[in-house]
Amino acid sequence: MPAVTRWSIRTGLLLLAAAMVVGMMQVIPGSGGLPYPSYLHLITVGWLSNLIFGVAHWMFPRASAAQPRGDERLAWAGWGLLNAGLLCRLVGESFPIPETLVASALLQLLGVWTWAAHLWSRVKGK
Amino acid sequence: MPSLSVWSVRASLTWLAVGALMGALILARVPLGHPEWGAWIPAHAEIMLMGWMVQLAFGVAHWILPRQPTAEGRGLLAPVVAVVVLLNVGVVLVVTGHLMVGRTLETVAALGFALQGIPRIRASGWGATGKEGDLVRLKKRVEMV
Repeated sequence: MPAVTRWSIRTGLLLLAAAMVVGMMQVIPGSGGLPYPSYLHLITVGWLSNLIFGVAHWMFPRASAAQPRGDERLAWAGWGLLNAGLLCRLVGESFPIPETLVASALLQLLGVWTWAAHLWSRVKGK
Repeated sequence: MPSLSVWSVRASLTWLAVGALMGALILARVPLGHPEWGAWIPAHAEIMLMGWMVQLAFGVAHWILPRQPTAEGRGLLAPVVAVVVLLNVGVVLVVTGHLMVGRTLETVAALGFALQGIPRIRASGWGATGKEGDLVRLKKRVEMV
């Protein structure tokens, strides 16, 4: 299992645990917590997307003999951008700071597009 | 990866790129001065759930589930092509506001996927059956490694 896959899955598990805490705080009266969109995106972006991208990077067909998993720098960039964007979202929705939400939108968009571009070359027949 | 999975996974990545752009605009709608973009949330959710995640699962499952011991190891091609086409047309229709027709097509696609996939959900590979001969082969393989 390549390093970026290990880190994606670890990050995903950590964010899944965070999502469960946020979800519990939403149903315990008086415990405050993050708004519902934060909870939803912790699960879909933080957990599911990290898991999917990490496993796809590991398991999809080889890009070439020289670079079996393609340019791994793209995978690292996608992982970093996506998770930095998600953290910005959590901050921006906790303390309404408009600039943080714009930064989050940009970082997550670049992260997803980077992962999609990286995986695109690996989606092919034998 | 079979060609149908290639098309299905590429279509899912395309929906992902579109859905992410839509999501970014929704998230930044207030600072950008367009609060009305919040109306796109249901379309964003539909694209990300059905266009991206469900379709990715369909494509990868078609590729990776055990093949049947027949000439058409992954089943007949036409029904699986129909599943992918119906799913994508369904997502387009739901996103453009044709909810009833779109959801109907998505439902037919999901049923079609389940019907053609169920026969492939079976014990396969080293140690998968748990029977004596299979376990002996598994043990030999582990020892080789």
